[in-house]
Amino acid sequence: MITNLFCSYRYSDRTRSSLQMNRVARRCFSYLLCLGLVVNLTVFSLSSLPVYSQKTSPLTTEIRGVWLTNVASGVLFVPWGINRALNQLSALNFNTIYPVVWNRGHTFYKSTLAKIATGSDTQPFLNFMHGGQDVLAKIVTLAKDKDLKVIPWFEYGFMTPHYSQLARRYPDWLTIGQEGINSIQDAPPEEINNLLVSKQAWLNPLHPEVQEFIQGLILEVVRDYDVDGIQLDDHFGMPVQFGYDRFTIELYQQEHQGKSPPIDPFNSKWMRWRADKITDFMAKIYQAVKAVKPNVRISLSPNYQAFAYKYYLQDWESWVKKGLVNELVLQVYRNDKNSFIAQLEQPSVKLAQSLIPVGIGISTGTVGNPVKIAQVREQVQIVRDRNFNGISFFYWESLWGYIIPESPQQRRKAFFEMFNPKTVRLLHPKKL
Amino acid sequence: MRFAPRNTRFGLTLLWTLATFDGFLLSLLLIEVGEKPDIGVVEAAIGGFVIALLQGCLLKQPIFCIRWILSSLLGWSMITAIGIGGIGWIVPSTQILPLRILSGAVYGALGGFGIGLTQWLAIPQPVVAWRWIFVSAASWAIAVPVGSVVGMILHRLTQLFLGEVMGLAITWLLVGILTGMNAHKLRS
Repeated sequence: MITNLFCSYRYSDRTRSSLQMNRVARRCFSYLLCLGLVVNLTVFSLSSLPVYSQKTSPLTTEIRGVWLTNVASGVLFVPWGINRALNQLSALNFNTIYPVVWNRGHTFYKSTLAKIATGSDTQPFLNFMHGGQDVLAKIVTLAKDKDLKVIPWFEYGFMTPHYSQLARRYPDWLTIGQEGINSIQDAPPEEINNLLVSKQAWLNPLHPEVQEFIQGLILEVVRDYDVDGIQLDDHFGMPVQFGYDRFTIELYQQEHQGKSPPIDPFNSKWMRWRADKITDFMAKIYQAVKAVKPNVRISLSPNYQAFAYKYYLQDWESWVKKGLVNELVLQVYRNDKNSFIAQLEQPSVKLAQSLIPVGIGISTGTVGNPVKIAQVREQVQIVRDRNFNGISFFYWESLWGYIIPESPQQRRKAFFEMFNPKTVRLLHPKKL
Repeated sequence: MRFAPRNTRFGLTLLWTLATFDGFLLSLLLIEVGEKPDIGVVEAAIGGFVIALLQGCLLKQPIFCIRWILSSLLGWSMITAIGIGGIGWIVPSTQILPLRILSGAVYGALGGFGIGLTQWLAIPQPVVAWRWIFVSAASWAIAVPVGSVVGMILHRLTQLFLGEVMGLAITWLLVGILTGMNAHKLRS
């Protein structure tokens, strides 16, 4: 039929004999090509498929995770993006994904609470692209089939853009700095160059309604989905310059015989008081989550302790000591080798290592800061040499997308070699 | 099937260019750009199909459109299978500028000739069909080195592989324009 289609062209004003010759030539050529096509498709369709198929047991190897976010990444939005990502990750022996579920004042799952608070039960564009399907449910289902652990990631923590419905509808939920400063320059690594979203408002972590809302979101995820844990990150704190909103001042005054908070935001007692309040909330979350599902892991992905405490009042060392965290994935997004190593050898990290599984977050690059695979490979080796429990990469798009220096295929080959079953690093499973 | 208006030559060139370029962008949803060994016959066939599908919509008769799609699919499969490579989706491994230009021109000409040769099967008018082979070869011989050089420069400037993908987009844009300038003959 194909050859008939090719050969049934109409007569032109040329002579019949030359046309017939032309037709014969075309017919022969068509037959040959069709035959060649069939043979080639048969042979090459097998050879062009990826050969990454050697699997390892996810229970006994190091953490091999990756963060999936919605910013500067199409993975959650493009058709079959999630399927392709999970297939590739599984084939390359990754075992954990941290998909974003809370970003810019929107949830990335069907949330009753978000619907009430913001008017949208899911981030609208995500909802549109998936025709109303629950994306987290899809991720969980696909990941379970591939032996991938799913630890939904509350990326924005208490941070929310000024333009978000949350900030507009509940201005009293926001904390502010002195002289009415109501935003800070902050952005997750993947949107560090995005000037539109670099100014962020901050939900007051001390405010009971904020606590109820954030805890409610976390519990929704834990209760409604078959997840292995939840993850909070460096935005689960309060910028040190904040805490001068009316609610916090009144609370401080109640507990300090009517005294107002110090003018210096770095006043040690004032810092400690706010940090302890956040720790108290962390304890509430821990208890609430464990009450729903005791085996669900509370994962935390902070910056190094000194920075996290000094600038975000996030005293994660105390959280670890108090047993409020089951897994720590320290963000060490450094290009310099010595600086990278220095971060891993901080006393707080060593302390955490002695108590809970500790992994290291390694940057695989962003648009503004592409990272060569050689650096990634070197950092993975440094982490392994120091007996950490694994690695998580920031972020999906820079694993083997186009925002990398090498070709995607070269990157996948490198990750396959890093996580090859022959070089697999077996760990003794630690209890949570 | 007919999206083209009763068009002028310029109008069809514009539409043809858009169809070709959009086809490439659409193909990126299905195919991952890579080096020569990374793009197999299947990937090339899929990519060729997507682009021919959009181009085919500009042709007058449905039967011609179907022939165009099948012949293009065949062409892309053939040039990839015989070792020329899926030139529309591959990035040269060399970072030496003169080599890129030379290999781009040679492989572009060969690939364009191969695609033109199979598309010759689909074109009803013999004279136009024969000429199309050379139009295709010349277009690719020009477009591949230009896109390749732009891609290399962007890659070096940004340190992102995306630069190479943008270079390929330039290649497809040029191919769209150059073949589009002759596309009105396909409708005559």
